Amino acid sequence: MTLAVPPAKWHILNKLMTRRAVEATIIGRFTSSGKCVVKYRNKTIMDVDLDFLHEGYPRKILKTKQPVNIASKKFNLNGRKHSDYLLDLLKDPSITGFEFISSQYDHIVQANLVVGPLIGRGRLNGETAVIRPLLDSERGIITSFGLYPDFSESDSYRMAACSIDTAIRNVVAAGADPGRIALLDNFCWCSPSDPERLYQLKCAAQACHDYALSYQTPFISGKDSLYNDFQGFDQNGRKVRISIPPTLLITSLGIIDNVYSAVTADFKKPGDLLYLLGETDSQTVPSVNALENMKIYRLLHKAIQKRIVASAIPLNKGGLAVGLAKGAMAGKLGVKADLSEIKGNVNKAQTAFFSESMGRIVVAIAAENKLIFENIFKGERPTPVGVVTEDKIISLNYKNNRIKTTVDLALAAYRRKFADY
Amino acid sequence: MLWLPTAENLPIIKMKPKVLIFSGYGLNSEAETKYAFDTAGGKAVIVHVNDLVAHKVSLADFQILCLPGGFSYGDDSGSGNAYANKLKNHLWQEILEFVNSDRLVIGICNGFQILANLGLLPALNSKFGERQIALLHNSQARLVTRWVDLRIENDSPWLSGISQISLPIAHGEGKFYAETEILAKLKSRRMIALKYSRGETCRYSDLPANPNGSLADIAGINDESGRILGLMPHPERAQFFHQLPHWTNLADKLRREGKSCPRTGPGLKIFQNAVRYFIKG
Repeated sequence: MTLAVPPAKWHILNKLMTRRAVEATIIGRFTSSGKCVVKYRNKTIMDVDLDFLHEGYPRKILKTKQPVNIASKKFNLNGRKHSDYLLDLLKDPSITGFEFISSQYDHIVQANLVVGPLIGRGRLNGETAVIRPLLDSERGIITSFGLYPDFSESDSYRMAACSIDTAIRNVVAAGADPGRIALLDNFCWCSPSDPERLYQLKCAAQACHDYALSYQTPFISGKDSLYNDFQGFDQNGRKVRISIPPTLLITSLGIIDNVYSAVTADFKKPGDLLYLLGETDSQTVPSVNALENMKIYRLLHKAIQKRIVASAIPLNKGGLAVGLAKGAMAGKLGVKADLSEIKGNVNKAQTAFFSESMGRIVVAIAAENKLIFENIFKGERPTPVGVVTEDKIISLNYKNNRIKTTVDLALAAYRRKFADY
Repeated sequence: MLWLPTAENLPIIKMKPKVLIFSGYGLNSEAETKYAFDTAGGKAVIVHVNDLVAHKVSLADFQILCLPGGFSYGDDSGSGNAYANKLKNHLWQEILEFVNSDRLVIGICNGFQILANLGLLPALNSKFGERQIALLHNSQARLVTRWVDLRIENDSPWLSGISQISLPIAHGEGKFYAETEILAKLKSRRMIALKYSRGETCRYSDLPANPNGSLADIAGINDESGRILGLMPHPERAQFFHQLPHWTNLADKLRREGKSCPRTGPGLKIFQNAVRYFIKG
């Protein structure tokens, strides 16, 4: 750790460091010489003008070139029934449970944890962390993230937009005020000297600009790692070049006025009514309509503040089927849902069940709060999709297509991948 | 001159019991532990062990000593071992005087490991300084963070009025071990304070009662007087309602009944017991 200390204060600081058995050494002084001079054992090893140090790098002229789009992996059931596909999704590394990681870190030190990594009776990995930083105040912060490297090769603008919407939507579903969210960007990219990679980077950055403005969520910090490419030879001596998929991690940081209003995804009580907020369509790389989404997020926040939202599940990887399964698994309750009337460009079962369209949240509302809820959302027409049940059965249908499995089978699939870790 | 609360002077001077919370070299739970003691009616002060060694602060000025949780010395040479050596080598006389007077000591998690290595627990036959039990690496060979349910097994003032309690743990070396004779004495002299049992949070999360393989399900013990308590679970991480693993579930139920959430958690009672020990008079 490096500190700048006024000379008159050094004595006091040094005394404290000594009492605390911490080494503290003066390694330099600020001067008005305009230079950066470094010595090692009385030998000058660096003597550079600050102007040159900061501004002297050669200006590169970089050019972008639009790449030929590589379509995302197409959705493919490969002959599986929808029920089996759901169980396979629950084993997918991007969706499956990783309790073995969550439980081996001390995430409860400082007594500020409100919502931790494991949710509900089913101990599902949640999408957010809620903490209360000041023990004298009930205000809290909620953090989450969005990450879709799979979309980058098809459309890196949309990839960035999805990451931003997801990061925002996750914290809103947990209780954050949509008007008080900040973002961080973490670019993990290939060489920007490659014109096509630079084009992808520029598109992602453009989306960051556009959506930060549309959502009014400022970027307050970030970092990047570029040149994540390998050039070398394969085992047969042939030249090979491997690049990471262009990756943008968007982290969100939201404020919640009272941590006791935080909402978790687990279903709470049989009989609770389920609603789908937002529209569904069949794009494999979803687009993001920030203005429409923001309307929903603001109304949801109102409903949460009125304490009528029993559960809220932001829909991410695996879409509606995985989201509903997660609510059931976490709450160890059943779900009976009919998706036939959901809004949007839906005409196939696989779209209804598994589409990963952005801007969607499932909420569970106590039956007695139905009128208050629908009144808050009038004009936005949330779609009733079903009900929480007592039996531990997950039963979803779209027209005459059915997914039927049990919470126990779903949990077994969810825990299978890392069971031996 | 040392001032101690007595039956005579307390009703006149309603002094808050002073709590010293050790700090330094990687202990990390001081702030929230202080908060719990203060909420319970005590007056807690966080003091770096080097300031105690340098006699800037004196143990004798306090009614309660607390060794909080943490990763002191990075668990080098065993959790709580190096910190115990520091205390043994520099503060032993003051510590002995403290434990031989009518005052309270608590060691939480890393603090319990320190007390065990220092020989302040269980200190059978008043052999303060002799190591008699160990806290080994968990059976699963990794750190575990989760909630546990506990049964109170004796009448330590720290635990008065409690028969069962749920608290969280977060430790890698919490597996209680004692040789057969020592264990037999702990049982017969009622020095076992808390045992892991299957209660509300185990049933909620479907987890086994014993989280780390501890012998006889022992989670905490006392010395012979009952005034020194060492436990692996963290009461200060159960002082607020929102720390409970199922609080959103409970809050939802309360809301449907038209009630609001409580703000305190089960762990606070342990701190209140310690404060009341001195205020009772």
